Amino acid sequence: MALWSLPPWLHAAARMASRSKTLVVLFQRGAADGLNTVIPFTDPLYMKSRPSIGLKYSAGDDGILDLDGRFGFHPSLAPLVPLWKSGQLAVVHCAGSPNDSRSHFDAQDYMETGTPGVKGTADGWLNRAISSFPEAGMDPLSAIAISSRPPRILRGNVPVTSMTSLKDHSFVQGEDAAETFEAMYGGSKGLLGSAGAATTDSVKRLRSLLSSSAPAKYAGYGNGALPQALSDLARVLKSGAPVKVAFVDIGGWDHHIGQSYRLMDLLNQWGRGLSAFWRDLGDKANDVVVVSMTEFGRTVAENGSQGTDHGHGGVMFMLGGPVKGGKVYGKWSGLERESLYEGRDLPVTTDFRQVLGEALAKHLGVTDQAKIFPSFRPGSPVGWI
Amino acid sequence: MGVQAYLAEQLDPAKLEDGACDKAVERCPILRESINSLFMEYPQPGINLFRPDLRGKVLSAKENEDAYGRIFSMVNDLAAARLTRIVGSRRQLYEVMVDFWFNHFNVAFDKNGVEWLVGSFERDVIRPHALGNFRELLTAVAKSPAMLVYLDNNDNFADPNFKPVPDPSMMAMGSGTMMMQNAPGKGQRINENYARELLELHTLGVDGGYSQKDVVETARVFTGWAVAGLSSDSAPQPVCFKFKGWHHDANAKTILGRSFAPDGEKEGEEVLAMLSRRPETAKRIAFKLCQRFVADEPPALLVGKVAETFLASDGDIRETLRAIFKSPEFLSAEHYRTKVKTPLEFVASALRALDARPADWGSTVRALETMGQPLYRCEAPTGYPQTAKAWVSSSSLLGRANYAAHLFDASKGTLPFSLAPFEGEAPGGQALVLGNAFRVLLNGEVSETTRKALASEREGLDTGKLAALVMASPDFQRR
Repeated sequence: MALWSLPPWLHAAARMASRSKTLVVLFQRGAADGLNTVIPFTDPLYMKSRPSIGLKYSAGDDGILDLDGRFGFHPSLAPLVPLWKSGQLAVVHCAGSPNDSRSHFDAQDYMETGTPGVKGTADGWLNRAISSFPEAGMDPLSAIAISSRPPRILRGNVPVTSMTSLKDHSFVQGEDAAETFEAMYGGSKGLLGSAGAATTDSVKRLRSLLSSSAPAKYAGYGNGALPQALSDLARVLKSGAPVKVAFVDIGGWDHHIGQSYRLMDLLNQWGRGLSAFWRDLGDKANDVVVVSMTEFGRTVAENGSQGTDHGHGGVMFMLGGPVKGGKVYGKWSGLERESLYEGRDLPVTTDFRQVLGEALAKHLGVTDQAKIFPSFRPGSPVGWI
Repeated sequence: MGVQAYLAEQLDPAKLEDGACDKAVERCPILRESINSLFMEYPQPGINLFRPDLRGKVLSAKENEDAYGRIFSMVNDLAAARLTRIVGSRRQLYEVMVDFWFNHFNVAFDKNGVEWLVGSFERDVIRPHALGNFRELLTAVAKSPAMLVYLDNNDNFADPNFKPVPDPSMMAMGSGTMMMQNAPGKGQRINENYARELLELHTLGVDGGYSQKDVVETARVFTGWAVAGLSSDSAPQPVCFKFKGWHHDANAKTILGRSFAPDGEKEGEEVLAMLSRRPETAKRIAFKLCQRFVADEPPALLVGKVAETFLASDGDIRETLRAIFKSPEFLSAEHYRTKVKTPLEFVASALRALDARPADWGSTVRALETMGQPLYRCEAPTGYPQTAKAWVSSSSLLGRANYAAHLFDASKGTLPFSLAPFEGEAPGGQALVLGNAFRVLLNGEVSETTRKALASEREGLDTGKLAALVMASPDFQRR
């Protein structure tokens, strides 16, 4: 088939399929504690600030996992250490939003609209990012969310596929019902019509992709909503679906009390999920970049109930083929009171849009980001990709 | 009964006999429990405010998990109780308004500390005022333990060393008022969370003409508005609103150009009264009500008329609703059945159409979660959106189709409703069942596309499957 005989949008679709690079954004909702995750374990102020919840390092045991002689991973992140060593995983410490809201809702909203400090932005930046592609909207599988509600970050003009899980993304009444559904929604205009079409399109496309390539289900994910969502996403990506952007999230990081136990549990799920995702993707992992972020970090000092309160700077993680990993990026200014934001929190020394902008430009080839992150002027590159 | 007669009756819910629903609700003991007794029965590991016997007790990981599981079970019980009312009550408008105001003044079960307070918030704050007066509702919300914890006003303290300084810029403008300048970072301990949402969400709206300075001044007014009984330092006492004068900023404040002399708790009440009477507030409430009852983008003329009624009646919610219901826009062809149901409205309309009385609400509670609208669990203070844009997606349409399929799936047990209205008295084949389903579920108003699509459905489908398909149709997603 000669390409020039096809309509222009199909050229674009063909180009897209051949490249099929994917950016996965993972949101850790609830303000994840960066300091007990990527731990400055050689700094005596660390244990001094966190006498009861601080983690200890001693060579050779199952405590803090030394990364570079200065920072170490929480012990629950052991599954990620091989990825760190092979250079696929990187960290930006003290990353976050320049807006200093300590409200979960505002801060998440700002990170999903990409407009810190501006409420009422109608669409999400990930939807604006996908609309940079001329073929945007042609294939509902070009943007996928695996989340219970269509997330803010993907809200906008370009139709997207949102699913609770791959298993739920089918008609329980079977294919006949799907056809009736399609016929019923065929006459609808507006949102119901386009979402109805995206529903049957995505169900059919996924069914045929998954039945033809039928990737075996990888067993290493274990339990938990996030590992299961990543397992579903890996199956979709490996099936050859031309996914440009994908979104998954994991809640429960707001540890004001009894942090040690709860953080251990969540990091275990999160780290295991990411590591299994990487192994599951196999060769395909070279085309995938995952960026994990949270709305803000937590106080440097522990509070009176073995927890931490809302802070400012947090940690972002980047995993993928093109990542220049094995390195803790970001300006680190220590834990002395005078270097902390308002004397209590890690400062934000890297804007989250800087990190994401580099992924958009270097991985997806989206260099014009004026509409994606309006009013943001990129600084010097972090250089993680 | 005509629409207007029905609405008039609905606007006076106390006169509507609702014994069957009241009886069903009696089976939900959580609705009657005080905040304190909930704290006793569902102790929180590590804190155990009202359980000296458990204080300092070190729990195993399993015990810890169980304790949190029990706390979490409260939200399922509350959701079941709410669904019982939404589906079973004859006081439909009242239940809609309870949902509207809960959502307008949203608090989330999942915020630390709010778990034990949500039930009281609905019972003691929202329900008594749902068709009452807006100012009284706003004040009750401001003093509710749930809102005080949810939006952190319980942590909003004055700095004891704070001394006001004249704002030179205001002096230069010759306003004649000594504005107090807040010096951020100088030991201020105010928490702006409630103040900001009070202005942005509860009253004026984001474009309501207030400044960051108004937010700070409002936060200072509400310093000391706190919850008694939540400190583990003291012996157990009733959990309730308490004005803590020692945490209150006793300097004068200026909000929206009006100055408030130091007057303790009264300052806050006056600010709430002022906000409830602002035209921006009237417009915001009118807009949201029209958006709920008329169209996602309601006509500006209608919003204006309704806002006028809100102002003229000093925030009388019933009068304001009457203004909507008697407007020509309310039943105009242009807006007729253009609203897309939210997941909750979808579930409620489905179960009401079937006259269903589920003994166990678990599957419906979970379905609402899958569809993205779990009751009491909207984390953001904005509440759930009420426009189609936020709800219509492939996952939600599939969720609805699949919920309908499960609802009519008799293979897992007896259906909590009768199929007789679909089947009629004599067997008459699929055409008859479809005709009945259109009547029962769509009031007979079915689009040609849907009718055709279903008419071409292969023969041999049972009643439940056909009815489920009608429930999945675009026609049933509109109201």
